[in-house]
Amino acid sequence: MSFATTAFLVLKKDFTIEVKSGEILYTTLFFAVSCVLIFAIAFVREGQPVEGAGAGILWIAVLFAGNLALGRTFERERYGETVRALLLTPAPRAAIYVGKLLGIVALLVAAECLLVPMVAFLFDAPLFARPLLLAAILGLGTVGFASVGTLFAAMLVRSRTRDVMLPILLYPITVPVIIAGVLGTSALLQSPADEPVALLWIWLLVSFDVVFVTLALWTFEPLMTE
Amino acid sequence: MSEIETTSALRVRNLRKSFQEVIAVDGIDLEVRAGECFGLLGPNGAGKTTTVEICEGLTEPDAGEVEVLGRRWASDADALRQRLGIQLQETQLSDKLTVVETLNLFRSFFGQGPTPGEVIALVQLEEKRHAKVVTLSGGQKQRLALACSLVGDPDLLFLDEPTTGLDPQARRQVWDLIEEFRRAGRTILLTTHYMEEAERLCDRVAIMDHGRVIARGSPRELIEDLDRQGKPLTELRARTATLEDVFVSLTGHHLRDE
Repeated sequence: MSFATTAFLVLKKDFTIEVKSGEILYTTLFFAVSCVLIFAIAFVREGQPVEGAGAGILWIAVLFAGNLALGRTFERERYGETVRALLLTPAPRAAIYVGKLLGIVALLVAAECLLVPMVAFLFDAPLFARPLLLAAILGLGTVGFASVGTLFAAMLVRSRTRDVMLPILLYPITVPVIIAGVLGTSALLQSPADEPVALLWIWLLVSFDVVFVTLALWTFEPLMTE
Repeated sequence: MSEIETTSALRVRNLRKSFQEVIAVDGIDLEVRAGECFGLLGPNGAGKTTTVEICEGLTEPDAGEVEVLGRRWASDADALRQRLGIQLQETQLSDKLTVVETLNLFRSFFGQGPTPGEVIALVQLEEKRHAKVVTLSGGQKQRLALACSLVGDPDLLFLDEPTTGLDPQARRQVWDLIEEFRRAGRTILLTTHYMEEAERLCDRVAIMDHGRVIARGSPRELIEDLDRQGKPLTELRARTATLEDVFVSLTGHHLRDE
């Protein structure tokens, strides 16, 4: 069984379950949209949003929704003991991690597809001015956040304090990704867009992703064995 | 079935495992011979599940040696997992998947073994082939879990309390499947709280308590040992001792929490 096939099978399993239940997708989307609407009520006065708020609000919505999605996804795994069952098969363990990571990333990308037009509209933010750069920042930031989140959520799946421990562990470690994501997006929202600064943050995000994903692939098996 | 390199399917020597202050496994030795059904018995918290998880390669021991099918987890994990079947305790699998989807998923991880359809027929779940796991009864879920452990055509099968919570009919169906597997010359390591189950299925058993093995032998030998000890009668009934009498005599009457 190849690494890629195993990761695909784990992703397909999660996708099949989500298509049948819609549970995590709808919860995540509803939460993310509510988050942006509440910020819109608070920060838009007489049709004028607070300057530069769009980038921060977009990332807050993505991160909170990500935390919710991670918690819900692994709660389902805990209930079904599915992760443990998968770990007992001959499937490469790192591939199980990659399959779970891809599922979380797909979920967050779906949320971002809804959030970006909402934030652009409600906060009068020119998010579509540099669509490729924005996609790169959001995509890389999402991978960085989800790579650490998937590792910790899997590690905490049998812990009674997982709901408390996940954000306590996740947010401090992903601070570099959060800062790079927010500042990179802010650079794109300036008029005119500050492309060199955005590119700098993109390269930093690439570096963070390489480090986080490599560490997660390396530590997943030993962490799941204890 | 692939060739078993040794007459011992599982060898455990001086195994130790602690969780902070709690000693879960305290220097146990075990040997499961190829082709036998071996029962690991004990009250809650005796260390059975930890022992089995170490043997399954799911938990690292603090000390001791584990040799499964002549191989060690440190050097041969990938090859070993291809040859083991593991049924989890109270496994519930993914509720939203169907029986055939679940088996397709698990079958795809193994390089050999029967088709999902053949395993479904073996555990008599043909009518539930396209039913979601959530709609299955307790007995059907246990048979599905057993089917998942059989999809790789294993040489050694780990069964962790395979009939807990089942009604008598469902329990006997699972017993029949286990006996059929053993008749095919495969090896089984079974943990159970049911002494009747161990007496019926197991060639040999080991009774654990407080992380140690306190008795081992065939159910018949253990029962005869108890009879020879001549425990005082508490009631006058015309019956012989059972494995349950052995278990209670060795581990006491008091209740245990997990």
